[in-house]
Amino acid sequence: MSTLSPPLKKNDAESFLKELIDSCKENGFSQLRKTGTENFLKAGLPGRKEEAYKYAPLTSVLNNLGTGKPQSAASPGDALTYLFKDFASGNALSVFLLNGTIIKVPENLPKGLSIVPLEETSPYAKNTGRLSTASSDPLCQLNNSIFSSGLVIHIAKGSSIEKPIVVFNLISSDSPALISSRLLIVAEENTRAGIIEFSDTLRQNHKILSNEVQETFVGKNATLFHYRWQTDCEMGNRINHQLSEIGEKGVYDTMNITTGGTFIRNNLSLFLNGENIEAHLNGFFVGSKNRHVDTRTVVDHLMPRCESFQLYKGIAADKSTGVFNGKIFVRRDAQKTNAYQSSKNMLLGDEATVNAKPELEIYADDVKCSHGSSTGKLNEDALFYLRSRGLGIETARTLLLHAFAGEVFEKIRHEEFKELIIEKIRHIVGGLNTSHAG
Amino acid sequence: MSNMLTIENLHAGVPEKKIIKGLSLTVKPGEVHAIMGPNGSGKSTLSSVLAGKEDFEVTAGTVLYEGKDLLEMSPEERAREGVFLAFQYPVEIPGVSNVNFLKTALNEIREHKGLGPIDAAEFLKLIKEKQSLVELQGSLANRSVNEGFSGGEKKRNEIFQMAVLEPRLCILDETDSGLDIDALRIVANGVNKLRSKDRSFIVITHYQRLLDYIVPDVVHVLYDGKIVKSGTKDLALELEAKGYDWIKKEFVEA
Ligand SMILES: Nc1ncnc2c1ncn2[C@@H]1O[C@H](COP(=O)(O)OP(=O)(O)OP(=O)(O)O)[C@@H](O)[C@H]1O
Ligand SMILES: [Mg+2]
Repeated sequence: MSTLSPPLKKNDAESFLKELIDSCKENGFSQLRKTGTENFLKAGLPGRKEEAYKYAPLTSVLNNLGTGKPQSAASPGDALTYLFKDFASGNALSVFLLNGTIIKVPENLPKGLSIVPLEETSPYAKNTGRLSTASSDPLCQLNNSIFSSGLVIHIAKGSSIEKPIVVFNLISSDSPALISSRLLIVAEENTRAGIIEFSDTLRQNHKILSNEVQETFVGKNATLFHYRWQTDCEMGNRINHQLSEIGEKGVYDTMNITTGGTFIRNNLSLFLNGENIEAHLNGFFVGSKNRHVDTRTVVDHLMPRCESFQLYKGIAADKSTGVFNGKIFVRRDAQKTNAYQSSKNMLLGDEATVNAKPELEIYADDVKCSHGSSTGKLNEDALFYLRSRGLGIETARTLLLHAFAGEVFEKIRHEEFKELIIEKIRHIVGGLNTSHAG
Repeated sequence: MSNMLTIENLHAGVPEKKIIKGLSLTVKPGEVHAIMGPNGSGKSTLSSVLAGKEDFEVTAGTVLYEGKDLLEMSPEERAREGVFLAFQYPVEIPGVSNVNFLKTALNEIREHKGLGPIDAAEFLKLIKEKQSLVELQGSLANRSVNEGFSGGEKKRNEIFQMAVLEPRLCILDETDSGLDIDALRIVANGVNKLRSKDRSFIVITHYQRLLDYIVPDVVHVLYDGKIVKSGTKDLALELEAKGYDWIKKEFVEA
């Protein structure tokens, strides 16, 4: 069953969104909202001809969203936590969000860590919109205009937060809805922290789209990891705008794992705005049925001596599609840049597709950049080799798919999460339909 | 004594090409058969067919392994029943740990025999023992399957796996090629230690030198998809001295 309806006409989708904007009565951030509205109305919705949304059937995603407004969302209860109970327990600082609104935060937060609702009057909110207003993506501007909830995670100068901050980013509504929420992450100078985000659209029988903006500021000498795992139900669709700015000697490590949802789009923009920055962007998706997983990264090397490493992998089965579009800018001042990007995909079956497009734009002369992409099938010789040693065909396939994925997860710098994802992925890839493979 | 392997009038190939063209071969328990023959004569194809590679289609003939129809079995069933192929070109499998996969393989075979999974300590001991048998460095056993192994290391790894899995029918496809002189002796000694009255070997090689170490009971010449000559180990010496031309001629004249 698909949540992708026949596409709306672009005009109809636009007028649906305009109505939503007109009826928006959210408080605060009036300047940001005003800019967002203007930018959105100016740009309109991207059509299929526009490179950024070439493979993304946006007008289908925007169809059948009802009034667009979420209704009395069901309580998430234990719906998700059973899956991740280790993370909800004492080993983590768990924050529960429902449609972007805080429903639970730990009682005793360690010194230096603040987790608060995003409000204009909050001293932590001052960077809100700094990156998102400059975005060229109309959906990001739409969020600027109408977002209805938000969370701030703030790590004060010099603080080290030992336990991971685990964000359960839950989406639910009793009727079709477009949900617009924000996350602001500020890691001040000389801090260390890690965020693990479980994104889930709780099981329901009508369509939901979450269009979310995440702005992250990593200060001088700060180290932050932010791993996101999307396990949305089939009715769930997500567009995530992850915009991050890193300062001198900062280390930023992010990973997007997608194993659920029907239409998933992850837009990452990373501004390396200081010298000697180290950035890691990794991702992994599993496509099944008619899931569409679209990842777009922009890594902007603005200053000298920074390094960025990207590894994006995916397994596409059934009629699923994957898109990877990675762009690296190396600006004129960014000498001694080291930028690496790789996209590797595996197709199971003849009806799955992946489009990978790496792009480099280099304006400095003393740089090391490499990029590559490959899309292939399950290695039949390897499969035979394993079987010829006694492994059953399913076991052998799972082992190979799991090994393929493992290269990404090796990079996770939080042991418990690494173990969890490796174990869960084994089941997920083990359940993929490989009957057309070969 | 019943046969370990009985191949009768085997025809196999790919849609565009017949490769095995009426091959017959009988191997008794405990025997070592050497198969020699020019490049492209069908030696690896025969191995692949015996191991169950689906790329090749069997168009005629029968293969009985311990009295059972081998061709009816999936590759994994064959392995669990005790057939092992040491590949001419072992494949590299990044991300799959050599020992972990071997443990899974061993446990599948044990399960097939009605045994429970091997315990961790016992497995470790077994690995150590078999590693030293072929002098395979410990670090190699822990790496991804064959990934970045040298040619010789890959071949040793095959024999190492064979030693751990303890098959009854061992097919060695040019295990000697790519081995240096010392490694050749080590691997051959490893194989000899595995020789027993109920384990048989089919040793495919181009060089008689290997047969100085692993002394065969029978030597066959495979040419154009058929066994065209069989003899004692002296046949290998004769081939070493004279090449294959005389056999090709004999065969064409016949
Ligand atoms: N999958 C295939 N498709 C087409 N032709 C094949 C295929 N596999 C093998 N052949 C052909 O069949 C013939 C026999 O190949 P095979 O690998 O069995 O030879 P071999 O006796 O092992 O040779 P060598 O001594 O070089 O290892 C060769 O001509 C080869 O090109
Ligand atoms: Mg060969």
